[in-house]
Amino acid sequence: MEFSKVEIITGNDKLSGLMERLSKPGLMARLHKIGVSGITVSNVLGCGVQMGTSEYEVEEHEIMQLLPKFQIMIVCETRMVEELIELIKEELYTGHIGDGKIFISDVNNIVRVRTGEEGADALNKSAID
Amino acid sequence: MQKKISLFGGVSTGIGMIIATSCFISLASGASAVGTPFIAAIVIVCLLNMMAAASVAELNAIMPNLTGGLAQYLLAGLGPTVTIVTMAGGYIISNIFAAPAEGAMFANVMCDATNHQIPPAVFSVALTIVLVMINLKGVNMSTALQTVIAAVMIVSLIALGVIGAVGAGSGQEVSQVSAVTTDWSEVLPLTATAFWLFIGSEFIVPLGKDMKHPKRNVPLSMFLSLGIMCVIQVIMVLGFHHYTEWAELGNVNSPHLLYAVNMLGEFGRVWMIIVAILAAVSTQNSIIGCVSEICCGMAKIELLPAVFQKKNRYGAPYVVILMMGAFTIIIEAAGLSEGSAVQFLILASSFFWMLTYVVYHIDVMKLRKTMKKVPRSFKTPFFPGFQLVGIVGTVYMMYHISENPFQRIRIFLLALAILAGLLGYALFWVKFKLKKPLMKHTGVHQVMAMENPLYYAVRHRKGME
Repeated sequence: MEFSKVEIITGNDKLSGLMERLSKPGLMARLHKIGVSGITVSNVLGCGVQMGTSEYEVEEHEIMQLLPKFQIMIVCETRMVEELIELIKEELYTGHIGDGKIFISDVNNIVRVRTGEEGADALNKSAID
Repeated sequence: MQKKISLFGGVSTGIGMIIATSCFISLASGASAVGTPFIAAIVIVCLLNMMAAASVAELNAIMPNLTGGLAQYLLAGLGPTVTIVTMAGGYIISNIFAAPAEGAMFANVMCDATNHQIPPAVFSVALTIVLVMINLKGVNMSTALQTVIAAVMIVSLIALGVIGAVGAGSGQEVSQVSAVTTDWSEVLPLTATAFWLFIGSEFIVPLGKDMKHPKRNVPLSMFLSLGIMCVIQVIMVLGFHHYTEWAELGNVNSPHLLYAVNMLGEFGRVWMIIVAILAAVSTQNSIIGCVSEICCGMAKIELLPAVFQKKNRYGAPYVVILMMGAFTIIIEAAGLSEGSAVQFLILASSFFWMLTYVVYHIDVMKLRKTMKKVPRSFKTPFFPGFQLVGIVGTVYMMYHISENPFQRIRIFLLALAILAGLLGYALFWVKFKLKKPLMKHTGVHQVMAMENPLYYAVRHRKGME
């Protein structure tokens, strides 16, 4: 079974909408069914190609200005990444600069430290509990 | 901020925007010409305008939460020249025709209420002066009041329609054929007449910011509003069949009064007078407010001179309000009150509105090509089927805008002259004032940035405007 890591970096104002959508009972159940079993959210600082320039400004900053953002990490089975990305894109989209970026990468293995389980077993509820 | 407008609120507002007393003239004119087969024209137009609503909903999905909305969609898709011509023609000019039509409907009802002792122009001009003064004071009729008026109108229309359709009125039923003609070549052109019954659902879009679940509720409200209006209009035609002679229906200035009196006598007359007065006042007030907002929005994104967003001490955009009032009063003072004159204004206004719907479809098709990967919370199904059918259907209606050849030529010439004037202004403004390419679209993020007051503050500080 192949796994992927989906990392989303987005503006602070976007998280509540995304979390609200992700936590809807039907949707979460669907996501869980196809492999999403957890989510990690971090407060981060960063900037993209605009160097932290607000979209209303005339000139771009010459020096990077780091802005507060959220980083959301989800590890799931690779076969459901496409569906997850579509959902995230739709939820984060406003058309404004700062909607965010999604990074997708391969995950070689997952290990649950407490039980030593690996792969899909580590992502799902432990069989030995 | 708590989002307060529910799906029900959105649908009520949508119906409130679509409904107007001048609709009775279109409804009566169409029904009078062919009888109940006019229902087919009503349903076709409803479906065509749902396609236009779908296109607007998709544009809203690409650029959500814009206050100006409609002009910005076109600016991002088709560039400044097309935007100026379409918006100025489709919403400003068309409403300049629509406002006196509503005034005339109000005047006719008032004349009836006062036994024709005062000339109708006095009522319509007086109404416009009062509404202009109210708007200049910055007093906006609250959304709640507008919703109440819309609700009274809807409930009354449904009640009057159902009573008529089932033949439960106290008046004498008319014995007449159901269909004056079933010839499609006579019924289909009446779609142009029916168009007026289904315009304005796109004004739900600016409410998206304050709506619960806007991604779902904005398009749904538009479709439901149009669908409910379709049912109401169909019931009204069935009611007309029972209580008004088809021929007489097309010859009176206030067909709604005729219908109410024939069906319910004096009680019906009073009921309809109250409803019509409330609706006409509300609609003309909405038109003045709506045009002010559109002009302000266009001036904000530099498509109209900055003078259009100048506000008086009450915060009212007085230049637009005064301009709108002056045009309306001039047309009203010209003695417009007869059904045929109102019908001409409605058709001329419809023509420009139709043009706008065609441009929305083109805009969606262009953005599907240039921004095909942009996530859309609403996508028009069967693309480009709805857009192509919408364009062909709407152009057909534009061509058949009137079955009277003389009137049709007058509307075409009027439209041509106005569009030429608007194009001249747009070319001059974009080339010499904005110094931008005439047809080049503005990036979505730039259009979105224009929403931010800081966008203008920063440029003003740098002496860029």
